[in-house]
Amino acid sequence: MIIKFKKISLFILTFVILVFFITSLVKSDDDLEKSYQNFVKETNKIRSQLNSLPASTSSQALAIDKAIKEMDRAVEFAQENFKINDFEITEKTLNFVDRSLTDINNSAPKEFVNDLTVVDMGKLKDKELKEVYRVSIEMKNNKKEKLTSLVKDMTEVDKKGLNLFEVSKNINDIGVKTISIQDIAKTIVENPTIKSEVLESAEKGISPEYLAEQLAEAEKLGIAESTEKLSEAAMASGFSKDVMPSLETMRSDFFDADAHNAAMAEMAADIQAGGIGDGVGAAEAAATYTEADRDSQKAQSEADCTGSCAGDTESGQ
Amino acid sequence: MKKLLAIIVLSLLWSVNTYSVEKKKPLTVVQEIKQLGIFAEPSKYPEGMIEFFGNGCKNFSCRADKATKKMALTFKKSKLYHQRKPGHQLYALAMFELFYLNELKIKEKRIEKFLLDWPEKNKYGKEIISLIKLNRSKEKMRKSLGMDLNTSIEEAMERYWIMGDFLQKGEIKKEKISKDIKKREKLLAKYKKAVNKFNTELKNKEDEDLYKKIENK
Repeated sequence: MIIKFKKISLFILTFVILVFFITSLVKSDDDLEKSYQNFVKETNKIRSQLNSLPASTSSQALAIDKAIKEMDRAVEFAQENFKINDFEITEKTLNFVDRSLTDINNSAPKEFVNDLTVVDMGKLKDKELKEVYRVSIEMKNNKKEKLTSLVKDMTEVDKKGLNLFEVSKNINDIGVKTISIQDIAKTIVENPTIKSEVLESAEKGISPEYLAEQLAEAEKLGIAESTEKLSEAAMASGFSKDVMPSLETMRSDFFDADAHNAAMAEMAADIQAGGIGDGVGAAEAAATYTEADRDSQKAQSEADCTGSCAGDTESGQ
Repeated sequence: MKKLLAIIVLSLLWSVNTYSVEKKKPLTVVQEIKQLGIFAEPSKYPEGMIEFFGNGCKNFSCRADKATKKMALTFKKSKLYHQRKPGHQLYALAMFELFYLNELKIKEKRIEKFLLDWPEKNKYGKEIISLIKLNRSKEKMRKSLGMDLNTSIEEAMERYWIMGDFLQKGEIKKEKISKDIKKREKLLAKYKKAVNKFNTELKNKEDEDLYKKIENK
């Protein structure tokens, strides 16, 4: 009788543990599952709207349509991986989709264009010139970092069954400028530790001969860029890798004002494409913070205090 | 029976593990709060910002309130507005810095009280979570112009403002766009927004765990 009772209580204990674990897992991923359902619903709707657009005679519109079709494979792959709880691959695939959609969007002509070539860099104030220089250099570094991370993501995704190097090549072939073979080659040259695995994946999607050619080019360029001669010439003219060039240098012919101007134009395009960085969305949310919100928050805090928060007012005084 | 129990527990632990994505070690709640910074009035403001405040608005509270209102208005403007006034979004980012600093000032004592009671209680937990979220936004926005949380507020505001001025110096040219392109552009923007939203939620999964940790204490 006692043995039977022990068995029953062990069974109940097992059952309780099982229920506890399952409910906690379901609860913690419930919000994400809801977001996923919304994502599927929303993207399916957009894709069907895009598919039902009347065929255009414009070559630009045709290129956009074809490039978007290329995205379908990647979006479906991300969804499949979410379903099997591989969130890491889902995220990496979506990073690629996000970048590609930005490139497709940037390839479309814009109604308003901010022409920065009219800005005379020579007439900028010292402070302005220094900041433009600094920001454009830092943006270039940011861009490099993002590209390296994306190429790594593409390699990881390939290991799970989708070759994004091929998708990227197809989009370029359509005429939409996105991550190119040259970009991939430069990334490999700058990050030798990832060379073998990136090459292994990339060669499945793009011609190994062409990739090798671009790699050789990138290596030559890398060597040329790092030659002491060039560095010495730059130093003599007021440049160094970590130190700001003098204002005289920035105003001299040696200073590539056009390059910095182009970086600024890119920044303007980023803003047009939906804001500079993901944080803007959150700032927009913060912008909805109104006086009414603040009042209700204050009232709530005062209610929570129940007389023990003397002196803890809104201003903290 | 005991073996069965051990197998069930082990398999559950394994399944929990498959949910975790290998990422850099998240910060603890206390470390997160330290990253929020400490309130100190800015020692200087960008010239254009001072002009915007006007002569009658010289103290920090007035300036922060005015900046917050202007920031909210700017972010609510349409995409078309931002295309015509490309520098305004950057001015708004400079104002966001003041908005954040003001939030820090308002909640300074609550942060102290939270830290005193944590981890036993979560006094003012919701306000702490909202500050952490704002700080994350600030970090992301700064990163886009090569800054980080160590950059001083004076430098951050100056940089946003100068970049805003620079973009305003360009010439806005209007081009004729076909209806075909306009339709596609609109759908593309929606597509990108949907992808970005879901991807951000995936990336923020760890953050959400942190917020839940504070909320559920």
